[in-house]
Amino acid sequence: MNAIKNAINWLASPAIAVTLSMIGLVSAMFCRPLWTKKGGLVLLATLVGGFVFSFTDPNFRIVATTPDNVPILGMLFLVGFFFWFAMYQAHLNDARLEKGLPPLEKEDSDKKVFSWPDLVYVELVSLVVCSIVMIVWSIVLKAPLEEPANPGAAPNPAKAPWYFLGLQELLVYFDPWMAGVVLPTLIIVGLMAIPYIDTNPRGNGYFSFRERKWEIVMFCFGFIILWVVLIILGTFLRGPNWNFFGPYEFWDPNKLVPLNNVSVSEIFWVKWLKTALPTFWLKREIPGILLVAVYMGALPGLLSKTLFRRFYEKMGLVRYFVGVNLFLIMLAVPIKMYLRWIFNLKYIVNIQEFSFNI
Amino acid sequence: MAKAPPPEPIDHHYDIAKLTKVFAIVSILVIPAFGWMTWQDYGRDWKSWQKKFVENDRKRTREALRGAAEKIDPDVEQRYLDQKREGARELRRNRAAVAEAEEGNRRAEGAWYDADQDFRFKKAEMDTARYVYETRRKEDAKSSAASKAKAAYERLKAAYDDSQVKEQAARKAWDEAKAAVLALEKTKKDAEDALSKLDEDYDRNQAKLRTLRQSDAFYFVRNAPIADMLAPSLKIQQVQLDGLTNDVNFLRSQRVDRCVTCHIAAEKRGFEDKQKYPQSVLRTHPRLDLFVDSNSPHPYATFGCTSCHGGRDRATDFMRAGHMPNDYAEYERLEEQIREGRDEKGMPVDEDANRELMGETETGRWMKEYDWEVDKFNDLPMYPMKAVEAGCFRCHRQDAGHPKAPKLDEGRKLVEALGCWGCHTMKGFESLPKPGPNLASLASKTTPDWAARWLVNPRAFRSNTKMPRFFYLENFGTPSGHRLTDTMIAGVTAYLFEKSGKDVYASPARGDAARGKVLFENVGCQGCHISEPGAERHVMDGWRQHGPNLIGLSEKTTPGWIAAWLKNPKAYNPETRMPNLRLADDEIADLVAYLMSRPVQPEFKASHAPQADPAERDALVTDYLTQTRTVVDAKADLAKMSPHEKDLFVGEKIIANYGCYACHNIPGFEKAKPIGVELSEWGNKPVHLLDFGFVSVPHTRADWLAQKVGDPRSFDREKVKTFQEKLKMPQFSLSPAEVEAVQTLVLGMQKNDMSDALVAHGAARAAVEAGRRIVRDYNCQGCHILEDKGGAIREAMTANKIDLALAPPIIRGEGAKVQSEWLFSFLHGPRTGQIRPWLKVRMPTFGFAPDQINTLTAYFATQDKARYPFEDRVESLDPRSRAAGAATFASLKCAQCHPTSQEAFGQALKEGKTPADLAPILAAAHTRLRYDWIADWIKRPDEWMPGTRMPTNFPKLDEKSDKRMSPLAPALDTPAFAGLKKELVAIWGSEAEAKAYIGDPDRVTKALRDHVWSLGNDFLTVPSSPRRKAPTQVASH
Repeated sequence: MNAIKNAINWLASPAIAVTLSMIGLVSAMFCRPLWTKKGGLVLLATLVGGFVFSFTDPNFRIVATTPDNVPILGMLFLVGFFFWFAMYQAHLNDARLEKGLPPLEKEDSDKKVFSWPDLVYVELVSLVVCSIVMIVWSIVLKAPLEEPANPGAAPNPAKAPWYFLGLQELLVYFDPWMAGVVLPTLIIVGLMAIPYIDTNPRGNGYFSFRERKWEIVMFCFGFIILWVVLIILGTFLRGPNWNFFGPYEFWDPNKLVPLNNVSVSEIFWVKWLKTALPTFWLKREIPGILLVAVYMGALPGLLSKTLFRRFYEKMGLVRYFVGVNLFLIMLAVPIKMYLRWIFNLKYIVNIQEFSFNI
Repeated sequence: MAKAPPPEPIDHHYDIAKLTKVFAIVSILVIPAFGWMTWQDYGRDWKSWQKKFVENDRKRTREALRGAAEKIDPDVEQRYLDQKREGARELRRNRAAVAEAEEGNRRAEGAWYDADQDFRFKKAEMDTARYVYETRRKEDAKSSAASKAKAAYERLKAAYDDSQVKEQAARKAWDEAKAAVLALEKTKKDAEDALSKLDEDYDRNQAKLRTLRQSDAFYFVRNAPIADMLAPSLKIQQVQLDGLTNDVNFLRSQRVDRCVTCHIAAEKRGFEDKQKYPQSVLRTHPRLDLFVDSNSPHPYATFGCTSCHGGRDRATDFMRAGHMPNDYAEYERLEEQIREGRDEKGMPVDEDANRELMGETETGRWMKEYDWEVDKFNDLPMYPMKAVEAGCFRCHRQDAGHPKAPKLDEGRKLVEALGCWGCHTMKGFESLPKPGPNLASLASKTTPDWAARWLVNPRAFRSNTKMPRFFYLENFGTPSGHRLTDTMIAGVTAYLFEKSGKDVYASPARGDAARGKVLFENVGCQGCHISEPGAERHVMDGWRQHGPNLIGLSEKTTPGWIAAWLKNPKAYNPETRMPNLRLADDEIADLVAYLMSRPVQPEFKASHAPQADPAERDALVTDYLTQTRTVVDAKADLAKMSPHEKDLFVGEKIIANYGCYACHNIPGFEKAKPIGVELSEWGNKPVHLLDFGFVSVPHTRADWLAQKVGDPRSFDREKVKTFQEKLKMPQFSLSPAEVEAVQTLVLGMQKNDMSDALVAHGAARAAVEAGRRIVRDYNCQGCHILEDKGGAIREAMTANKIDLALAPPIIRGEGAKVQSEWLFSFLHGPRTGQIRPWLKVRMPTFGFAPDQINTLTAYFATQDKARYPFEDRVESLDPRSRAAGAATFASLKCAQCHPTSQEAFGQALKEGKTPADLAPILAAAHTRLRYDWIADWIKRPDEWMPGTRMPTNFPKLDEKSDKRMSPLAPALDTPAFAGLKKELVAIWGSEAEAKAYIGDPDRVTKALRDHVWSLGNDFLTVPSSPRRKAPTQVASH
């Protein structure tokens, strides 16, 4: 039993967990049997079984039953359900489309219904059900109120609201201006830009996986991996001092983990050229700046000729460059995370002189 | 309006019938959900406590009602009832007149009401017109608007005046009408008044009982949800505390205590009985004399509850309020045993038995009854009741002691005596004398061998020493730790002896130990010292352990040193508090012989001085050297050092490491800073900043502290630390009770956020506390009973079978009794044989600084509210009073006990009188005593000093009164007092005058006083002389 728990603790460490969920997500999306009713039940049973097993562990129980964390548990099931539902519908439609039939949604879309009772009645029932749930919830799980905030005694760990924990997780890898300002802004801008970049009319108004594989995989990667998985990580696996703790590990505030990270400039000058760091920041950071310039400047052009040639031809110059830049920035997040995990890389560009670190 | 029906057939997306069923089900479910919510919101614990209290109060009131009923005399009551009936009959007889009078009364009242209303309306109109007139006049006094406004005002003023006259007339008419009615009802009314007076108690209780109903419909409705916004009987009780705040980061909010919402009986007398009211929450506060009561020094309306008890002021929920059980640590210990499967000794434990024990603890009960758990978000929970006196300290920090808070007092004494404050800075403890001896001339006193053996374990040499143990404790428990410790001790010893002055003292003449013993027991040594191997340490009431336990001196020091020390302690250590007993050389020789003969504790005899381990020493030196230089340089420097240099180096570093200089004066460390954490506001320290290490105690401030104080190095358990990282606090070997006392004190060290107005202070209080400080530092209570405490030497005298009449005097009312000038010169240089020459015990010369003596004189005078510093001069006395006093003095044979001069004292001794027969010599009373006090003393010695041997010549008239009578008045006519009578008649001129004198205790005592004042007082014969003669010199003992 302990061996299993230790193994899971090990698997849950950020590098492995993110890698596994990435691989798992993409391969699952292509695994048709999962997106049937039977597959859904199997997924649900796995999830529930995992929880039942985990709840026998006192350390897991403490974290999972904290009143703040209960809604996140709920979210886990909800996200799972809707993801399965969308994929289930998509595969049904794909099967129909293969046979030359219209998507399921088409069957319904010509019908009309009355707002009363078909809509309002259901809304009324939902309202009552929600009231009951909220009342019972608020009685059973008391609001976790604490003392008035004291700047001299910050709680340990100090956690953002649960929906921001993904962003807080990014703070481990990026400077606050990057993780807290640039990336969230780009997320919002990028989401707003989607309709203008992706002008493909297929899949509008109905579920389909086959017709938009690339787009769906990309979106799910951004949402499930870079948002939901990071929230789960931040909620359940980050403990005192923002140290990582496996799901069955005790949150020991005294746990020590070395944080020995180096920047690109240090690798380049000290480790490779065996010399001291140049004092002038521009000279010192030239390797990192070049790397970033190549990634953001040269890569899109290069890709347009090679891997993304089809997109480039289909989307046109502007659309392609906006899209691929957003994509590269999104991809930069896991890239930086991996660089940290594998090479202990602190910053690619590390200009402390004006707090500009990438 | 009407639209055509839809073209399609009605085809619903959902099955509406099914939806309706779902709707019905959830609608039914929502009702209990709302009910549950309401019950959660209204079913508060405090309501049930208030209900239970009302139940108790009802029972109590019913008893009181019965008691009141029994007290009413039925005959008297019957008489008034009869009168009332008679009155009623009378009214019936005069029915017509009564009806007419009442009708007249009603009419008159109506007329007055009308006139009164008119009067008030007129006033309002006039006021308005006046305002308009004033405004117009300000704008332009000559305008027509102004004159019009003036006219309007004057008109209305006249109307107002007129209405006032009418109102007054109407009122008069109404008063007359009322009187007419009353006159007719007089008999009945009188009876009713008398009845209500007779039944006052009964009626009051009955009225109260009516307010305590809680089963009727009205009660239910007024406390029902929503309706309870109007006038609920169950409600939150709170008090707003001016000047008391909560620190809520960035701002302070006023404290609002709601504790009495549940503790509703706390401020009400009559609920003290523990049997009747087993739940403490429904009992009266146990100390209404000190707290809560409006007449106590800490009234509830000013201080509330949380300012002393701590806890969250606004909470009305048991857990949120911050209640802390006494035995949380015990509960956790039992639970830990269950987890581990065995107890601390490794014996297997029975889980069920432990669970039962846990259930019996206060913690267990609270968990069961109130879902108690530690509220980790409450920074300042209540003090557990065992440490409740901690709350006193916040305001009473500046006091010298806490006689009304014994546990806190003990904590304070421990912290002072054991020198905790030396390493840990604490506000209020800064200016105390260092608790340990001066080590500047250690080499003159003892040998390195003794010092090293002492450091190994001070208790081996002196079982009750206050010196804690620093070495061979658990975090140095390994063999290498032992070698390291050996090396440290060798280093410290080497350093101390290297830096010490080295005086050589000549041995005194050979003395006689038996004589020395007698001297030791008689001269007063035992007020501060014991000499018992194996004695236990007592800090609380430990006056006789003020100085060291005088055992093993032959191992420690030389006769020469002891002799020099006894001769003049300040010569060896200028800061010592050991006084000079003015011993003669032969006395010193005897005492030295006796002290050198006292036993040595066997444990110490068996001990050996540890030797430095060269390898460990090198490691230590390197460790310290590398702090300031590179490892390579350090090794080079090490190689250059001789072993002795290494010892000295290690010694200096270890003394600095353990902060020895905090308690001892050590050369080279005069300006060193204390090494401990400042504790002034430790009681506010957040729990998460405390390192609990791997020790399993509850994570509360109190439990951490108890663990730290009781077992100072235990937080190093399982830790891997370098030498310098290891914990340094020494082992004080405190008993569990002492640990609790220290815990109480340190928990009370909190930020003082009380407003100044609430903190106990004032000049008088400061003067008394400053004096008490000196009393404590110099151990006055070792010999004297002072403030009804101390006189510890009496215990030794009793053991040595010495008459307690020879004990140092009890000091009571000293400020009122002696002149401050005399007290000053006495404390400055006490001379033996002045007042009570028969005493063998001596008032020592303390060598006080003038400021200290002033503090002491002010202390005595302030405490007794006596005039300070100077008294009125009495330079002439009424000759008749003085003569009468002399006659009375002689006939009462006062001189039989009180010698009137030194010669008379010598005579008395010759006559074979023993000290037990004698009282203070009165020869110098006028230089010593306060004039007014003497008379008062003679009048009521029993009140000044209960149990005094001075006879009470003027007994009280009776127990309760303060008046006293003179038994001499009836005795004057007896033959025994014929002589006195004759003399008094001669002095006062007539028998009546003489009897008036002798019958008045005030006059007799004043006359006696005048006589005493004149004894040995020659200035009175030269009334013009403004200066008092210096007291005659008397050879010291």
